[in-house]
Amino acid sequence: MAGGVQIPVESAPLGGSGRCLAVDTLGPEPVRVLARRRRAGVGFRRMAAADGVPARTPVAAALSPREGLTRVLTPPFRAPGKARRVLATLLDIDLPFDLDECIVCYLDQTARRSAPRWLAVVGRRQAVGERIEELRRRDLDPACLDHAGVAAWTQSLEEAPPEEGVSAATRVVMLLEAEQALVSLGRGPVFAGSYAVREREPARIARLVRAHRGDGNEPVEWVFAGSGAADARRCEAARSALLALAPGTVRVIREPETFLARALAQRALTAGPLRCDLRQGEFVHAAVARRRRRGARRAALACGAAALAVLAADAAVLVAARSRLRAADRRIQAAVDRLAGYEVAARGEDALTIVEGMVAERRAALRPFARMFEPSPADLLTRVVRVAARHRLHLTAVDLRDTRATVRGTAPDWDACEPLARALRANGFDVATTREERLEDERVGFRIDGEAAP
Amino acid sequence: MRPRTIDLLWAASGILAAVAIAVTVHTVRTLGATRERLDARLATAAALRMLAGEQAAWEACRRKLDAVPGAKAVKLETILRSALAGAAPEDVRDTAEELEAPWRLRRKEVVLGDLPLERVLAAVRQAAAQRPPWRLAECRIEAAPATPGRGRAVLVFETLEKKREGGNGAGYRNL
Repeated sequence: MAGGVQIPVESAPLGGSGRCLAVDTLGPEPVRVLARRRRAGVGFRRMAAADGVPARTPVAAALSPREGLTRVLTPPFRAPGKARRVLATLLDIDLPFDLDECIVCYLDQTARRSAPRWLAVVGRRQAVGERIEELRRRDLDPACLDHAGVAAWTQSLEEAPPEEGVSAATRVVMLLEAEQALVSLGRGPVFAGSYAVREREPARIARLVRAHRGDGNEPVEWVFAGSGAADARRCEAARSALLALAPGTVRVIREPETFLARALAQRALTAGPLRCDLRQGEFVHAAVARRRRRGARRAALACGAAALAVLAADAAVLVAARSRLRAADRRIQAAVDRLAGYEVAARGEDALTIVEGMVAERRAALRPFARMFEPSPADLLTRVVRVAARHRLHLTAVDLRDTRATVRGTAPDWDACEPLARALRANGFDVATTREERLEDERVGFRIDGEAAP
Repeated sequence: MRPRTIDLLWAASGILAAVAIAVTVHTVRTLGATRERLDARLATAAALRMLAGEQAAWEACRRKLDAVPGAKAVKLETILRSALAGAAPEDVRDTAEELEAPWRLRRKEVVLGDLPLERVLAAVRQAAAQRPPWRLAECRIEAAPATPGRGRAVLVFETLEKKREGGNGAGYRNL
């Protein structure tokens, strides 16, 4: 979008379709363009009136500014949800006829960091019905009914984006048709209004431009399109007349005859700003309604399927967790049975209590047998005596048992008893060493207490 | 498909989604509790495995001893007399504890008077070297204050005895 100013993007009215036939009925002869959505953009092919509508191809058409009008609304709320609640009231004040007689598309065109600004595209029910009937008579039942002025505006921004440095300039899109011109005005990407005027009424065009231009001095960016723009003489006459009224630049769209049809196709197939479809309520096309119902059904089924998948996953997780618990229980019970030597009927904590009692009893009974294979205090006694001799320790008392050891004596210096403590530690005792004051012979008394480590 | 049917589909999907959310919350909570229970069970299983391992080792000791044919061991007093160069113990107390049949635990508390410690050590080593051994269970040695290398010792030896097959209650033989 132009100049980096962003306005919200709407979804495509025929987004579910890959192609459409767009029909411009503003001129005496309808202009038909077959559009196909591609990976990058939309491809167009002009079709002759005799070609008819290809099978399974929805038709996109438009109301002219004479049949449908546009109004700019400025609600006091920026949040779209809140703004939408007051738009109908604001529009009702501004409309010259009853709002209930109208079909309205509210389009958000609030630019970032700008005041809220909405566009109401309004078509009277009677006009919409008549337009649809007229197109049906031509075997062109439109699936989407756009507004020609808004379509010309957004397509001009697509095909002739504002030049660098003039992105916020006033732009006037002139759709030159047989007798009349369709004028769409705006500034930057923001649409302001659309009118049908006679081309020979330059004064009215000047008034419209002045009303939207603001200070009246800045140059205007004129964009010419429509069947009249293909006529060089007519184009030149319009250029001279309009530049005299409001100076600026003039750009002529390439292939101007199919411009509006291209605009309708582009807007029907792709998402973008200011997309609208006035076939709403009782006028919704049967195929569109079917597609919407299909979409709604698929969404509901997908939601249900996702919920079922989540439930299945939950069930699988719970079953797996319970199965792991049961496997752990089986392992514990097998160990309990192995320890008890028979199949213990009790389960869980009771089984554990039973087996722990049995094990304690069995261990007490087996302890003397196991002790016969354990190192006896005799080995430790031999080591104690050897260490004492090596480090000149005088032992006065030695008390060694399986679970505790006490060695008392004197050492030539403070640290000399440490190898003895190390020997006890190596034998699996937690050791505490106590030293006494030096004796008369300068030797240090010591006592080493060891408790069998748990 | 009629709009009413689609509404019903949406309602059913909504109910399913609500149930799925509730079940998922329940599952997450249950999983937390299950994880704790599983950890506790794994810890219990590990403790039981350790107990079983220890018990198996002790049972193996018992089986080894059961397999010993039961050669008659040398009497402790004989070993002591030999190692102590004829010096007799001041006192010998003999106790016995009945174990699982056919086993009995014999304990002898020997009090040795003022003797060279080298000899005491030699006696302990000799007793342990017997097959089956007299295992030293406790020893309390106090050095003689005046004569280095000598002292008084209280030694507790223990051994297992197996009852002779077909014998009466007193028919144990030393292992």
